[in-house]
Parts: sequence; structure tokens; C-alpha cells
Amino acid sequence: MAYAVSLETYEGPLDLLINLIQKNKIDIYNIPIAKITNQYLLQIRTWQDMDMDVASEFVVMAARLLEIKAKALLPKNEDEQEDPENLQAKLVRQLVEYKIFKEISHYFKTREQIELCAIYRDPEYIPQNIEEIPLVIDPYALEQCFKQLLFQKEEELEALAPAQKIIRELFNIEEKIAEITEILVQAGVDGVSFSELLRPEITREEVVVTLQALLEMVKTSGLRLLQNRVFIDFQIHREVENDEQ
Amino acid sequence: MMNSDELAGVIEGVLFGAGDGVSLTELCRCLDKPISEVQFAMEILKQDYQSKARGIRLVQIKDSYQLSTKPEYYGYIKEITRHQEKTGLSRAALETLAIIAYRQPITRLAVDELRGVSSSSAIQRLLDRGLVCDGGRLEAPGRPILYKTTKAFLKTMGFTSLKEMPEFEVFSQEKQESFSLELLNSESQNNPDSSEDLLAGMLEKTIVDAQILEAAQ
Repeated sequence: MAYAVSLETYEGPLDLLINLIQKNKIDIYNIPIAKITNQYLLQIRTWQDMDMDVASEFVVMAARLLEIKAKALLPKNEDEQEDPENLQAKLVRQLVEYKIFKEISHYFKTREQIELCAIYRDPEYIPQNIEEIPLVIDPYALEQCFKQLLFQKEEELEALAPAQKIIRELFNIEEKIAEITEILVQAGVDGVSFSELLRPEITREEVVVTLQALLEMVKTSGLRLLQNRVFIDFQIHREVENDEQ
Repeated sequence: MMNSDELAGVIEGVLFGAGDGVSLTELCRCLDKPISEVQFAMEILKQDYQSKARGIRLVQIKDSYQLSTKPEYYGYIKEITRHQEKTGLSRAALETLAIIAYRQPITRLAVDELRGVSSSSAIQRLLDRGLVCDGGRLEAPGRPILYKTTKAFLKTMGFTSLKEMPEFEVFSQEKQESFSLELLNSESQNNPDSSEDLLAGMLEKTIVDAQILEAAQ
């Protein structure tokens, strides 16, 4: 829509309902549910026709009203947990309570408007004479107090952060590099295959660390990896002095 | 020896000089007088300010005292100060504040249920203005924040303490008509010589104040 329309605004579905009840001069404890539901739905349709977004809370209330209306029309079922009177009573309770808070907010508004008209003096800024403020504190008591606070803080922190299980790092890359270097030195010119480095009972974690160690060694200490084709085992050679090659 | 009238004068000077609120304990310390004497002098000051000849009033928030101009003279003051129009709280914020004030400490969810709409932005605005604050956690799943009102709330609404707020039942439907009458009646019945009644008078005069205010503007 190209132009703005100024309308009565409602704080929410309860506000709209109270407004309808007041317009119709209805007793809040005796709401003709069919009539109010129709008017409520009509209002929402009007908004929709005007291309306005209807907040979901309003739609939820519409569903609630329809439920009360529908249940009131149906013959009473003895087994049913919530009879329509209960549903309606619940809504009425909510409306009555909301209406009271609305009254209070009007009352607050009046008071606020009055208080807005009071002017307080800003304290004039004059630098404070800090030394002249008498310090009547026993330094030992202060120390005690400080210690107590420290202790309390520690307890609070402990309460906040419960003990955590720290898992020991079983393998680290440095150790693995040393281990592989040793194996390679023993293996000599032939080198070893990757599968030889992996013991049968090896964990997934150790396999990962072994591969990481190898990659690290390729980068830093000159290691040659030979693989005939992809996805098969590979041979590991030490890149020793030139004369050995 | 300083008499009570002089003491009242000293208190006025101290309060004006401080600008911010000064607590009764602080007053007793700086005046080096027992609390009873200070309170008695405070009464003299209060009564003095009741006079039409004074444009200042004594504001009490909990146990601290502060001076401000009388709201009913704002119309004249703004002619000089050219203050920008001060904006009050929105309807949503006022509704939310009313609920928090009477149901504190309360969670956001409970406020939402009472209003039938989400109140998170309204609560945020109240928090920004310092009118409500975090008042602990509810021991329930998610440990939601419990909100309560602050001293700034009392000042904004002109209450001395939370106890000064009218009973919740006063606002219920049956009593609504009698509410404004009740406030007016209790004012006329007040004996202006007693200290508590003077304070109560300040509260109950709000309706009259509002009318004067309207006339002044």
C-alpha cells in the first residue's frame, strides 16, 4: 500500500478482546462467545484486507476463540477433560488479570508524566579531595575481608566449573617421528611399507598420528614415499646422503 | 547549639549541594547529629516545602533524600530552559513494567503469558533505562532470569518505596470507580502535621497534581 493508515493499535490479542468487550458493553464474566469471536475475526480480516501483517499471537487467539465456540455448540461429552466452560473461564481469568495490569499501566503513565516534569540538579563538578576522606578501617580487618572474598571466589568458581575429565594424549607427533626414524634406521636401504608401521591392534587415533608424523617428516627431514598406484600400501625410504642413492 | 530550624537549613544546603540523593545515614554522619534530630529537622523542611511559597520539593527514595522542582511548575520552567519534550515509556513498556512491579521477581515467559504477546523488546527497553534489573535466576530448566524493579523505577514513578504502590486489588474491576475517590478522600483526611501523612499526601496528590499540570501546560 502506498499510503499509511492510522489505526487504533492494540498491544496484543487480549487488548483487542478487552476493547471489543468494552465497545459492546459486555460483562467480562459473561461473554457471548459467538458474538465476540465473530467481531474478533472480522477485525483480523479487516487488517488482512488492508495488507497488514497480523501477528501470530492474534491468530493463536482466533483459534482459541473458535475452539471455545465450537465446543460450546457440540453436545457435552462426559469423558472430555476440558469442557467449554473451563476453556472460557480460563480466558476470562486471563482477560481480567490483563485488564488490571492495563489499569496499572495507565496509573503508572499518569505518575510518570508528573515525575517527568520534576527537574533535578546535576551535581556541579568539583574535583574531590580524596585524601581528606577519613579512612576508619582496621587494615587487618581489611586483609581478612580480602582473604575471605578470595576464598569465596574460589569456591564460587569451583561450583561454576565442575571437575572435567581430561583425556590423556596417548600419541603425539614428536614421539611418533622418533619412533618411525628408529624403524627406518633399522630397516636401512630397503625402507618399510606403511602397513609395516601399523601393528595389528592399532587404534584409529594412532593410525592418524602415524600418517601425520610421516607427512611432517616428508616436509622437514626428507623422506621419500613411493606408491605404485592409488589406494594401495606405500614404501617409505629415508632420503639419506647422496652417495647412498 | 544548633536548633532544629538551623539544622533544617543545613540539610537543605547539603541536599542542594550534593545534587544526587543523600542517605539518612550519610546526613547523620556529616552533620554529626543523632538520627532522631536529623529526622525532626527533615520534617520541618518537608512542611516548609508544602507551602505554595516554595518551588522545590523533597523527594524520598527508600532511605535517600533529594531535591527537585515541583512538577506543577514545569510549565513555567520549560519557558526558560527550553528543554526538549521528555518522552515517557511506550504502552508496551508500561504494561510490562506494571507486571514486573506487581509480580516481581518474575521471568520473561510469565510476563509474556500475562500480556498474551512477546515482551522481550519491552523488557530490553526497561533494562536499558535501568528501570528493571536481573534479580536472580529461577531454579527451573534453562534457569531463566527473574526481573525486579530498581530504585530508578521508584524515582520515575515518584514512589518512596515499593510499599507505597497501591494494593493490586485496588485496580480490580469492582473497585476501579472507587479508586480515584479513595485517593482523593484519603488526601483530605490527612493530617498535614504528621510526617507519614505528609509523605502519603505526596503520593495521593498525584491526581490533583495531574490536573494542575494540565492547566499549567
